[in-house]
Amino acid sequence: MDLTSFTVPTPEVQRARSVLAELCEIGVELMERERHIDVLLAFDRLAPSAGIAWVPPEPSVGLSNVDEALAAARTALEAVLNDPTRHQIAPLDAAMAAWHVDQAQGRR
Amino acid sequence: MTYGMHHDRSAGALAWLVHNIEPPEPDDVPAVFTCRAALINSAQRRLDRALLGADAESVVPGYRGYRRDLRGLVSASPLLLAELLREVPRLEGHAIALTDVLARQPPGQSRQVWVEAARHATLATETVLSSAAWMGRPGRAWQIVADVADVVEAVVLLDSRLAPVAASLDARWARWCRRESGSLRVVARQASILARSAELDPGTDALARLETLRRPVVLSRLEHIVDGVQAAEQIARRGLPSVGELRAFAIMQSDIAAACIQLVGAGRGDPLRDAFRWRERRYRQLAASTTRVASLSSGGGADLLCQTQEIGRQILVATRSRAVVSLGVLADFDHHSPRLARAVEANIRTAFANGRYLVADQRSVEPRWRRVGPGEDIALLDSLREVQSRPDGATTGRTGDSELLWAASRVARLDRSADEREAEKAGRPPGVRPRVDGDASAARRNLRESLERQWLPRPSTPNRRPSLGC
Repeated sequence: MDLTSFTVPTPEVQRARSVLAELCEIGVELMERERHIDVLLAFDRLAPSAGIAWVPPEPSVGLSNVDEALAAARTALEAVLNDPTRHQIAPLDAAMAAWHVDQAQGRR
Repeated sequence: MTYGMHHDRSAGALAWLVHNIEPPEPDDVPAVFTCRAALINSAQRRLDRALLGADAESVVPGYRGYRRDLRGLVSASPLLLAELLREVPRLEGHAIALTDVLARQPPGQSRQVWVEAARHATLATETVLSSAAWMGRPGRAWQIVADVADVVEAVVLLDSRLAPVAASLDARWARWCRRESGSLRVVARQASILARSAELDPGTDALARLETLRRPVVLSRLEHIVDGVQAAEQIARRGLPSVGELRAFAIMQSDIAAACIQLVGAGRGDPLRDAFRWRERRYRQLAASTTRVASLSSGGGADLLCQTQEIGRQILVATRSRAVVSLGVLADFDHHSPRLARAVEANIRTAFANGRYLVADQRSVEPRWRRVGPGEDIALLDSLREVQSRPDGATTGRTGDSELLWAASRVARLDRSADEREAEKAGRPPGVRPRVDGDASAARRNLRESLERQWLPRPSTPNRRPSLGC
């Protein structure tokens, strides 16, 4: 594997990864432990299937509202789960990522 | 159909259920409970088969004398998962025969998906049980462990929606849900992470390397967790973890620190609690700083994860049993933990220098990875350094109250080993101490007792703490 062998995930997956990556980064300061761990686990679930490596998440945009960001991640994951066949990600992983986002939303 | 096909069908059905999670209709309850029990039973049987069935001897030269299976090569989460699975209530009294459920065409979509999940999970297990093709390939057995762990985690998530119905039918189920299901989910997640790492680890197919290098050690008591940290430190110096493994390591360490805060308990060891609280936050920060990092390695951190889980298992057992733990043991653990982080940092720093780790290129419009230049500051390395530091800013050694706690634990360890040597000479069991006044051992004991009196007040009643969950 070299620097050119990374692929771009579908826009829905990339959107969810990018929002969750930024939430992970700001979560230590802005979230309770349990909520932050849920966000970390949701991001962790959004790994591609074996043999594929993805480009990094989009750069930070300076999120300020955690609840809105979680809702955006949930919407993106909803789109993934409505058509799980084209996203190069296991449906169970996507479903569990969405579940962790739900948990994080419920912990506010 | 092959095992993989059956498992994919079952996993797809579980994904749908997790996504469209709803409490079952009253008419569907017996069938749903039956399918749930079938999923758990099949997971348990499949896991037992994977742990006991993989013939690791076939890939371990020099072990012709006896057979080795995965159970002999790993500890921690897969074994604990198998143990916890046996305790999961099946609600048999409210279920019906699986064959009846499978034979009928169920009316509702949710019920149909439950049946699909149970049918293919059962068939996947039967395929594993009836086939010997995978037994000489421990990597395949790891895949089965990972599959089972995912199924178990999904079932625990689904249980949250069955809770209102099930709790009214079975008091034992309610108790299990309240006290144990959180632990089961944590252990399933860790088993999944470990199994995926081990599956990808080239060493799985060349297990001989484990015989010449330091292997993960099994810990039998909480007092031995420092030995686990020292083993992990040595393991961390070899085998470069992938970014996913590093993230899993950080999350586990954060969980361990959070559990240690519980073990310290209210009203004791404030400096120690602060130290664990500090470490818990720093490890979460470390996990977060992996989101914009990639590795070109396929994963060589399985042993590190395995050893970390072994440490976590001892702490999990202590929190579950609500034991009152000596603060000296926890202080000793806290004292040694930064050394493990230092070993990991040294490995990762070298990986960045060698171009094995990449970071997101913030200057590029398109998201892409780039290599790190010499001397460049990286958030991940900063986080790894932070983990080694103290709440008061010191990076090495200990200060103030924590120093005394650690000193007390060192004396206790010295005392224990001296006692074991004496017991061996005198032919008495360790721990049965003859009364000897005026010797060095008594002096150490007095020092320890005075330190404990000053810094480690014993609670008058055992602490009652909730079990570790998430």
